This record gives sequence, structure tokens and C-alpha cells, in this order.
Amino acid sequence: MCNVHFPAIALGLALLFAPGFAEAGNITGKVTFEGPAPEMKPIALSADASCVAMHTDKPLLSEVLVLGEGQSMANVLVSVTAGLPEKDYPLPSEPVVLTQEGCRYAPHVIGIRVGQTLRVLNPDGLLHNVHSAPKSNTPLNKAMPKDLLELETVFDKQEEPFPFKCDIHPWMQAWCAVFDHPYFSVTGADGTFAITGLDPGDYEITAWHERLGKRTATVTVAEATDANAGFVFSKTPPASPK
Amino acid sequence: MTRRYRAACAYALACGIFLCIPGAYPEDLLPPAAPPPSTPELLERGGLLFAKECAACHGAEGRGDGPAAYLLYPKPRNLVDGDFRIVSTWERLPTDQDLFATISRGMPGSAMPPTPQLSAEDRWGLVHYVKSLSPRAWPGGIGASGAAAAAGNQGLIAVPPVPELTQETRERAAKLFADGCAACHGTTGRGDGQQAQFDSDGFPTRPRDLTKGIYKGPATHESVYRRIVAGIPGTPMPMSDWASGEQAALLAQYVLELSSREQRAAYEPRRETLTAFRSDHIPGHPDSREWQSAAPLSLRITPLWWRDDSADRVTVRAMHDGSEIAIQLVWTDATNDHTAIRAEDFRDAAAIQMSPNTAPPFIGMGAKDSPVNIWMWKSERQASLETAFQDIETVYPNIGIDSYPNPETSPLEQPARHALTLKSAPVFVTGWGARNIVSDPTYRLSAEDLNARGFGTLSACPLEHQAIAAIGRYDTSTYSVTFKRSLRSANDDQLDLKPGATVSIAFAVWDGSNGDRDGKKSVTIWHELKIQP
Repeated sequence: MCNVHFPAIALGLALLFAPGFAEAGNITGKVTFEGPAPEMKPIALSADASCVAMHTDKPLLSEVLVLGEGQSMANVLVSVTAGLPEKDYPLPSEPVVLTQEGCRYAPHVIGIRVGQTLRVLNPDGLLHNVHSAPKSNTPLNKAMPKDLLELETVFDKQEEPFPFKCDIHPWMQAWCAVFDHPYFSVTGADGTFAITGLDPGDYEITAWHERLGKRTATVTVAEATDANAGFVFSKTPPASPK
Repeated sequence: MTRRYRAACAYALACGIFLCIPGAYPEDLLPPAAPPPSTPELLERGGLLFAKECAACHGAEGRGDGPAAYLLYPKPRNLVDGDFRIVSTWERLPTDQDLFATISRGMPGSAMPPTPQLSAEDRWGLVHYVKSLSPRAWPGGIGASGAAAAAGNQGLIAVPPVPELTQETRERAAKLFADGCAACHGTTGRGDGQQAQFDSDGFPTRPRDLTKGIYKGPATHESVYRRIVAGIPGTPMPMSDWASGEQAALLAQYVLELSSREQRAAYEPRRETLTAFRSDHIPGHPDSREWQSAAPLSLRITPLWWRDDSADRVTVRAMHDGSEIAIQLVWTDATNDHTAIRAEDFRDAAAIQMSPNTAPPFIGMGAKDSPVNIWMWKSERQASLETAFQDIETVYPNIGIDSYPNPETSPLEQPARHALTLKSAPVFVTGWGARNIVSDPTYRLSAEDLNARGFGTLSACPLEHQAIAAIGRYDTSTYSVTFKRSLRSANDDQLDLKPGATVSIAFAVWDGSNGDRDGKKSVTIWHELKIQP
């Protein structure tokens, strides 16, 4: 995932400017799902014969809940939601890439910085429309006919996760969150995340899942160490939902 | 900025969006040479007009939540923070001209009516007032499509000249359509591509059938070009900036060619004049031969809850003999719905709404200081007056199998309509006792004379004033209904019509099997009724 690089830069800068040059620490952990795993249903791609043709060998499953080994949860966005000093964090020059391939978005969940370029690719050779539904940022709805292979956009306000969809292929969905800092990470298939380059201190971190909501935790980061924070999601919401 | 835009407007209006199809836009819907700037007086006037003409649907604050909003689909726009659909700028915001055009011609394909009864200045007042409701970065009045605008993909979307569709360019346009539009609008343009679509408020929507000639924005090359390039915010219709320039110009022409100029003009309702011809003999029945001598007028009707299969025109005629007036409505309806016994059944109906003012109040039930008089014919009321009336046993033949026979009547004897009710004293049948015309078992008319002074205030005239003779006939998918009443009326709650007078008139029809009832119906805009002297 591209956002692995930004904390490294942030770390460098943090080292340069932090008073006393305290060595930064990280937050790592794993997100798992508790309880019987619901079966993800195959998506009927019948709206577009070209999409059907792309998935003849294996059906395309709904990505509402993607579990790995030991019920590890992918597509959970973990970010620092409190405890960060207010400052301008350097912006990565690399764009975040969202691909429309095989009539699905990849990755399914992205985090991006305010002002960072989002590059949307269309290798499908089909007409897609990239339609976002943010509340604070300006909504985007652009057609990408088969010959238009990429387009770029930026977001100018931080925002909680909002959906991207394609109205032509209504099953296509991705989620995007916009941050004004680099401390976020999306879990991979193994359920792990890593938020790196944090100054020592107390932080609140939040794990967000598109269907199962949010879980928060408080983590203390000590100098040059990995603080561990795990999240467990289940179909029943936690006792005191945040 | 503003001054530059304003200066440019004159040029835009001289060669701009409204003049491209001569005859498609009535003279009085054209914007004036230069849009009047927003002044406190104009803004105040716009505010008063908004309260009168717009607030019932768009809400007092413009949030799309007026008392009539629940009856409408597509929903009235939230003017404060909703997405405006008809936009001509790269920022996907409406220019002053966009707002003026939408207010002037309404939005075919929705319940938004045109406003030919308002002067151009009044409509500019509304433009400025609507803009004052929302703090967004309005682009203002943008005139000529300048080169500067074209260069930076900012401001007004510049429109290239109308391309000629030759064999070769038409093939190119068809290919562009197949690649860029057909996924939703269908290869044939009939709107039969991807159907499961939603607008930004979560309401279901569907791609337009482009062969019908229904255009929410003006049906001109410029306007269609901008719909393609800017898309339609709040809907699945995306921005196709990839096509801007020659490709979108070809597409705009190709799309316009899918319907005829006549089809498109039919969806631009104008204010018409219905003449009540004077004659010695006036018809009293839909089949009366006297109707032959009255010139028919065909008016556009719009379903408030949009559906593609509803009747889109009503033909009206009017005649009078100096003492009585007869008005006939003819419209198509695939089903004759004249019973409303089951909970899921609704009946067909027709109504005439009149205002003595030639500057009529809000079309939806008038206003406090400007009442409307409504004559409403109901098919089930007429059916129940006939001998073989419809009752629960007709709809549910065996419903009475467990009931006990009435020993007072022979099983072969048909009970009379309201037999049991008529045996009771009215004071114990509360609706009847309260002189509600719907509850009165002795009421012998198939029409009702109603009054309203604003949305939600409809009430019946007193029983003793009810005197509208209406007869409806249904045959081969066509309704024909004749209303008849004396011209003059001494009652305050009824319209006094005089030979030589002009009043405002509007029509409505209900299609029961499509679920129409009460405020869910198809309506015309306000027209004029001229009673020959």
C-alpha cells in the first residue's frame, strides 16, 4: 500500500524538528472478526456481459466482509483520531491509485491526504463512471469511457470514509477517507496494520469498517518501540459504541 | 467579475441558448436584453413570489421540504444545499441564465411547472432570491463563451459550433454514443441500459428515454452539449469532460436527432386560452353533437409523481348559452376504475380548478387571499348512482356466505343503495348529520363543488350550493367528461362567471389503477378561460 511511505518521510521530519529528537515509535496490530463468519455471496454481474466474461473462472464475491486466515479482517481503516499535535505534515508526492479492474475497485478501502493526488485507472476497456459521494468535499462524477485510461483528482478537506461507486455497475464500491495527517493504515488480507513514525505520547486510534462501524482504543507510544493494539469486530456492536 | 459577466450577457442572449431553435421557446420566456442586477427591491419581490409560487413544494426556507413535497417525484430540489441539475459551468454550478431558464420553462419530466404567468422581471427576482438561499460560490451571470473560459476548464463551458451530421460524422457520433452513453441510455437511446440507479438523496432514478424528447434543461444544442460535458449533478449522469469539444458537439446533435422538434415542443407547456363559445344549445352529455361546433384545445398534463405511461394530454372544450356553461375533458386511460371498495383500489376522476384572477394564485390549491373553486367528477360516484351499483358483494362475491339473511327482505330482492343508512336518522350517521357531502346517502350528483385557500385547505361547498351536473363516459381507453353549471352564482364560495369575462383555469385527472388519489394526480398549468360575450 502506498501510504507506507508517508510515515517514513514524516518520521524523518519529526526527527529533524522534534524537540529533544525523541525517537519515534509505531502502532501495530491485527484486526480480527469474532463469531461465525457470514458467507459472502457471488455478485450477479449480468448488467454487463463484459463483466461476466471477466469472471468466468471464479465468481466475484461481495467485498463487504473479507476475512483471511484465523478470521483476520481486511479492509479495516485504522487511524489516529486524537493526540496528534496540530501541524502541517509533509505531503507525499506519490499519488494514491484506485483501479477499476474486472468491474471492481481495488483497493476496496483507501486513505488519502488532503491535497494528495488520487489517480483512478481504467484498464477494463469499458465505460465506468467514477462517482464519489463525500459530504464535505466536492462530489466527483466523471465518465471514463474505454479509451480514457486514467484521471486524477484531489480532495481539499479531511473527511470520514465516503463511498465511490459506478452507476453503470452498481455493485462496484470503494471507500475513501481523507486525512490531514499521515497516521493511518488499511489492513491487508492478514488483518494487520502499521501506523509508523509517531512521537512518544498517548493516542486514540479508531478502526473503521464499512459495515461493522467503529472501534476505538487508547494507545501509549513509547520511544522507539512498537505499541500493540488489536481490534475485534463482531456482528453485535460493542457495549459503548463510539 | 459581475460587471464583465453582465456585459457579456447581452451578447449571450443575442446569439445564445434561447434562440437556437426558433419557435421552441415562447417569446415571453426569453430573458430580457440584460438581466437586471440584484437590488433590495428585486430581492424582496423574489422573496414574496417564492413564498407564493415555490414554498409549497420547495419549503419556506427552500430546503425541498414543503407540505406538497411528499406528493412529488422527482423530489423538489433542496435549494440550500442540494445539487442543482441544470448547470453550465465546469464547477457544476448553475449560472443565472440556467436558473432563469429552469424557472421559466419548468422541468419537463418532473412536477416543476413553467411560469409563463410571471413577467421576466419577476422571474429574475426569483433567480436572485433562490441564490440568496444558499451560500455557495455562484458563478453569476456568465455571458459569451469566451476563449478564456475554454482554456482553463473554468467558468462557463464554451460550446463549439453546431456540427453538421453527415453520413460519416453520424457514424462517428453513433460510435461515441455506444462507447460513452449506451451503458445507461441503451444502444437505441431508449433509456433501457442499466436501470438500478439512485440519485444523491437515495431516491430511485432511471436513465432518460432520449427518443421521447423530454429535456429537463432547454432542448438546444448548447444546452445538451453542456449536459453532456458537465453531467447532471445529483444524478448518475456523469461529467464527460473527456468528450468536450468536437466529440460532445457531435453527441449533442446525435442525441437531439433521437427525438423530433415537435416532440420536444410538446413538452414545453405554454399558457393557452380556452374559449367558451356562445351557442343557443349547449351540450349536457359527452356525446352531445353540440361539442362538434366548439374548437378543441389540447393541453399538456404532467403527473406529479412522474411515470412514463401516463396520459400526457387532455383535450378540453367549452360552450355557454348565456345562462349555463359546459366544459368537456377528454383524455386517455387504459383502465376504467370506477370502484374503490378494496383498500388497494382507487378510482378515476377529473377536475377543473378556476380562479377569478387573471394573475392566478399558486396552482396547488390557491392562496389565503386568492381562493380557487374546484369542480371534481368522480367515476365511482357516478357508478354508484346507477341502478346496478357496486358493493362489497360485487368485488368479494362470497363475502356474505356466513352472514345471516335479513328476514324482512326476500333473498331475490335487491337492496336499494344505502338502504340501511336511509332507514337511520341523519343525526346518528355522523358524517351525514354533519352535512358532509361524501357521507350523504341522498346526494345525487357525480361531481363535487369544492373550494380551497392554500395547500391543504380543500373543503366542499355547503350541500345546498352543490349544483354541478357532470357526466362521464368511458369507451375504448378514453374518458370523456362533461361538466355543466349555471354561469352566475350568488354564493360567495362559488365562482361567478359572466359572459365576456376571463378567468384562470387548470385541469387535473386521476388514474386510479396507477394509484392516483387526492394530491397524486396529473395536472396542467394555469391557462385562461375566455367566456364569449
